[in-house]
Amino acid sequence: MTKKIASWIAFSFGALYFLLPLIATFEFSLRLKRGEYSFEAYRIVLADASFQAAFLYSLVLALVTIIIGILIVVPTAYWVQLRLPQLRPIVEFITLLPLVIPAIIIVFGYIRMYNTSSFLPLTQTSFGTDTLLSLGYVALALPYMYRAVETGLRTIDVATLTEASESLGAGWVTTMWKVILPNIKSAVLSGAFLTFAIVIGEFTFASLLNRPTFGPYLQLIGAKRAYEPAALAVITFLITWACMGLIQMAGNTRRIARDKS
Amino acid sequence: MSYVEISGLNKSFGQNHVVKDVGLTIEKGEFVSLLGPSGCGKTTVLRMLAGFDLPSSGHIKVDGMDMTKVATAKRGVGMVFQAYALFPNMTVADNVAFGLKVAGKSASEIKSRVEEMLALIKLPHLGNRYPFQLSGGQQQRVALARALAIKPRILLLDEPLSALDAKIRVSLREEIRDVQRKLGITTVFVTHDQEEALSMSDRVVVMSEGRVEQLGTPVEIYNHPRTRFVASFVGTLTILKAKIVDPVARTMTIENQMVTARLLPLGKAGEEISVALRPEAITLGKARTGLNVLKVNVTDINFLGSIVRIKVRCGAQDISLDMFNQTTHTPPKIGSDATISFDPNDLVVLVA
Repeated sequence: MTKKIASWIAFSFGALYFLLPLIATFEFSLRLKRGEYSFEAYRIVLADASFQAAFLYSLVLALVTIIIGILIVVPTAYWVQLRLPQLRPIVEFITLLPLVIPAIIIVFGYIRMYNTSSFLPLTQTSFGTDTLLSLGYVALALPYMYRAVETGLRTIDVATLTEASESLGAGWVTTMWKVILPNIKSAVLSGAFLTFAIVIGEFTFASLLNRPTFGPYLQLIGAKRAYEPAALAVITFLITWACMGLIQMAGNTRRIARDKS
Repeated sequence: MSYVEISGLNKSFGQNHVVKDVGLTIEKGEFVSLLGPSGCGKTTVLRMLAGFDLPSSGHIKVDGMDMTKVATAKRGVGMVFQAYALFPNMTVADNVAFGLKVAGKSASEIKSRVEEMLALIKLPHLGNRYPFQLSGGQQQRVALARALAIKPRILLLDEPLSALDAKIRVSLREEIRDVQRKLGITTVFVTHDQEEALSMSDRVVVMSEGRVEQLGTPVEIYNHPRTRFVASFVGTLTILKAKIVDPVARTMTIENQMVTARLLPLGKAGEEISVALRPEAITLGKARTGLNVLKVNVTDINFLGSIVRIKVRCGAQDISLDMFNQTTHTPPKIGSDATISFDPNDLVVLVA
């Protein structure tokens, strides 16, 4: 009994530690109008053209990042699992690097490597910088995307499914597109949502490469206004939570389908 | 010229030489089993036939065409795997249709072929189900239909019954054989189960340690095993030491008791050889003249239902024999002396 009480106390303490600041932020965001609670701050933020532009910009960037990530990670993880299992530790190490190296170091490296006087002056044009930013996000999301896809691949018999597909006349691309990808769909989706959450909230890369994404916008508003940044923080939280909910749902679809039968 | 010709096939994985100089010919429409214990190289031979592994040396020809290095997708083989390997994201009908879609067949052709295949495996009503909604036996039948839908040149079956329970295994093996006969498709079947191999095949290839030990019809393999390995792997068999007395008269002694064999490979008088006897070839008591007779002592009796397996000792060697369980016959007592008899035809002389 005492054990149960102790664990409840620990849980309540943890919950308060996480929830109180969030509740406080939410409460504060409602106090734009003096003497009453209102969603005025949210209205102002959502109606702000620069918010819409920054959010849309990050949204497009996230989608591009997800597509490039999937195109790189799925074939790599598949190939490692199928033909080069001895490379797994090396690939895992590489995919973990973005967690070990701080984003600021990576972005300084990028600027040094791809500045206007380098052999590949990506930062010379907006498109080039966007490309660089997107590829940087691919690297940043690599640990999550790779792990999600790899876990998905482990749940299916990749080797036998590939052989079955080949014996029926299918080539590499057909096997990948029609057999492997649909069977790891939920894993790829959860990797995609994690990538989305990372890109939407990212600040360092975007700020140092001077791109108008959602992160720097958040910082800019925070420096100038009082209530709107709180509203933005709550909106960002909701987006992240929505992503997490979607990951859960993606993971559950197959189980639900199985339970129904 | 045979339909499938395998010659001088070798396969090594690093230092591990798993298939050693395998040669084999298969006629069109024949059902051939590769039988052996795990690690004998049978699956590797099948995988080389399918194109999943390339041989280290040797050749594979199908219908006169050299297939040794042709990619799997272009070989036209139908493969059924032990683990079913149905595509989990597709319905039964889509699984069966997969190969046809890849080949670019028309929608109407695909539809009729899928219906034909589902009728063939007697599951016409399950086209809309997903693999996880089927039993193991049903999944394997769908896998068979999927492999056959593309009208393959050869059908390859890699231990397709191993994952199923005993009853379904028996009914499905009859069904596979039925379908194979109906379509007349050349089939190679890999198994470690001698009963499966003997009951289904036109010919059986017994393999051990990467080599072909013996190749023959099920009756030949069972009744006339050539080597000690085949004798011990296929069915129950007692292997005995014997000493040649007269190679011309085909006489020898087992524990100093004279017996005759039908065939005796060249050997000198006094040479020690191995001979084998099936339990069902031996009768308790002296049955009729012309049979070999041995004096023995009864050491154990096992009641197995329809048969009674009796263990007897002849000098220093043990022999098993089977008796039908008949109410009119009472089994001997343990420890009693007895005589056993067997036909000279049933005494198999092993060459290795």
